[in-house]
Amino acid sequence: MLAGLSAALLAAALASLATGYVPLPWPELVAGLFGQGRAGPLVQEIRLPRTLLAIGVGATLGLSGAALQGLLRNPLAEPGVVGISASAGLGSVLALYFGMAAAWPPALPLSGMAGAGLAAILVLALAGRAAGMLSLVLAGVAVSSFAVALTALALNLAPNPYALSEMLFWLLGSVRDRSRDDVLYAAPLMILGGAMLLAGGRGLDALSLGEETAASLGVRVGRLQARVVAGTALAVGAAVSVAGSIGFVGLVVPHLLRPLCRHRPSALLLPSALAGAILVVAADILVRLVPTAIELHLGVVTALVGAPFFLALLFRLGRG
Amino acid sequence: MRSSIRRRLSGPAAMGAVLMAASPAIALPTVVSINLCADQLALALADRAQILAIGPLAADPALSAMHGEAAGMPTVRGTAEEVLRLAPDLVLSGAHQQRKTNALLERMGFRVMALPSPDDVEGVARMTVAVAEALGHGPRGRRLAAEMRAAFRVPAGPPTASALVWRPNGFVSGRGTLSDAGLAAAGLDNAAARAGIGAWGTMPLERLVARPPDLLLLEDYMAEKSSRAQALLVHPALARLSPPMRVAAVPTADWLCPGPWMAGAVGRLRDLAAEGRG
Repeated sequence: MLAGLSAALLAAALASLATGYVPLPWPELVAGLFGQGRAGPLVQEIRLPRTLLAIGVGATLGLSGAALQGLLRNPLAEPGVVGISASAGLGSVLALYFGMAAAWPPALPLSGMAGAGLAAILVLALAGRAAGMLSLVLAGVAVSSFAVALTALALNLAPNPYALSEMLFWLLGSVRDRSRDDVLYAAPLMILGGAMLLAGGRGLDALSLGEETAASLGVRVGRLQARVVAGTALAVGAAVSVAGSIGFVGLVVPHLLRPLCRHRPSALLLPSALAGAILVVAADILVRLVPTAIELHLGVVTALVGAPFFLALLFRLGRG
Repeated sequence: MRSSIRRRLSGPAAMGAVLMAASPAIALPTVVSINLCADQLALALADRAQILAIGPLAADPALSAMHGEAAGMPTVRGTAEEVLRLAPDLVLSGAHQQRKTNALLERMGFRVMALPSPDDVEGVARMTVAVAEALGHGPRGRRLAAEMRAAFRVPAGPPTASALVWRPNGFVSGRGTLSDAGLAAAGLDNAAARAGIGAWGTMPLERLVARPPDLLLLEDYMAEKSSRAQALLVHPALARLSPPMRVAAVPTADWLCPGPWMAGAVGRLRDLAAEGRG
């Protein structure tokens, strides 16, 4: 399955590189990838960062969704549940609101990441050491609600309609016209966070037998919890702070793959990352092809596709 | 590759700009605009041949004062890729929603003018002149700026009536806005500024009913399209005012974006003020 997903991701990434507003024949596209020929700047500065970010954001969301569903042993968990997405979004919105993003562009991603980091620290502190998963979820919901409330406050107090629409559109998520700088800010944190999540696989397997059994198997549940939350904060925080909020990927992707992975949390992690990346890359191709006056935002497309799909899934589960 | 060429050319290009002022025979800079307000400035200031493409909204009569000029122009969605394909000498953009696109284009060596949203007439005039000079039409820009300053000149004597600009969901334009300047130029007293509302605020329906202005100004966009905001306007409390409040519409396109076309909105306000007196 991993080979199949990797091949599909490669195909999607190539399709994404070949999709755009300037028609590029394949030879020129390939030459451009290596900085050769007329299409060099276009491919290297515009299409490659865009595709790389779509892959990174999608992989991050799928992976952290799978890890959190394993940790909380709840199929409804996703990065939003532990307050990370909302807090990273709040960080970005504040950077836009106070004009920091205008004065110094890196302030936008950095502020988003700071929001995610702060949320992780808060959630872990609120949940308490080695406390149960219920308190983690409650702390996450509390932090998330507070971040959403502060975001709404910033939108409400927006100094003018232009600033308001900028913040609103940011929250809808997009990888349009991102530069290589954005990739440089986000990629290290995504990789570090992703590695932390992948390393937690075995602990998650043990945890699927129950918290007490896992503890008796030598898994330190408190540390596993801290690792998953911190990994999610790094990876998803980085994703949200360069691409805005993109929903449903972290929720739907692990669901799709769970039956194929024999319901083992550790076996679900890597496939979820790959499938998440495929989903976001495909959505990003779609927004460029749909002829709307301005490009649709990624969060809109993933929600439009994800929500009905999720409903259908629940319906089938309910009948079966 | 393109960016390195541009960087190499920046010296001679700068010299070209100096020469251009002296001899109009040298080709004027080409421009792509990727923002509704920038589109209108480009259409107002540049020669048609200079404009390679504009945004899709500029041809909408409800939103754009330059919709006539925009008809038939090539449009772009406003992505960096499209700009790269067209390779203009100048990119006109907005400071907010196009932030990422602007940064990327500047990185690639394009000259990007991210237009501010000035809130006073002087700011609009300065912006108009700056864009005109970048387009190689300094005299045209100065003329339009002067005409606009003249249109906004406040008449002598006290205001003849009070007016309130009422936008969807009770948003009003208070002190220190372009709408405020337009009302003053038409000899109208801005009821929102009088109520102590700053640049951008909301007026509760209760306060509107308690102290109704002589003239309630809607955007025509809002007057035509049915929305919740309009439902608020036909609130029974407003309908029962006695004497009834005058309600009129100003074309949204005339003052949605800051630019020399706002003189049209001032003209409309003057007419309304005159009707009130007559």
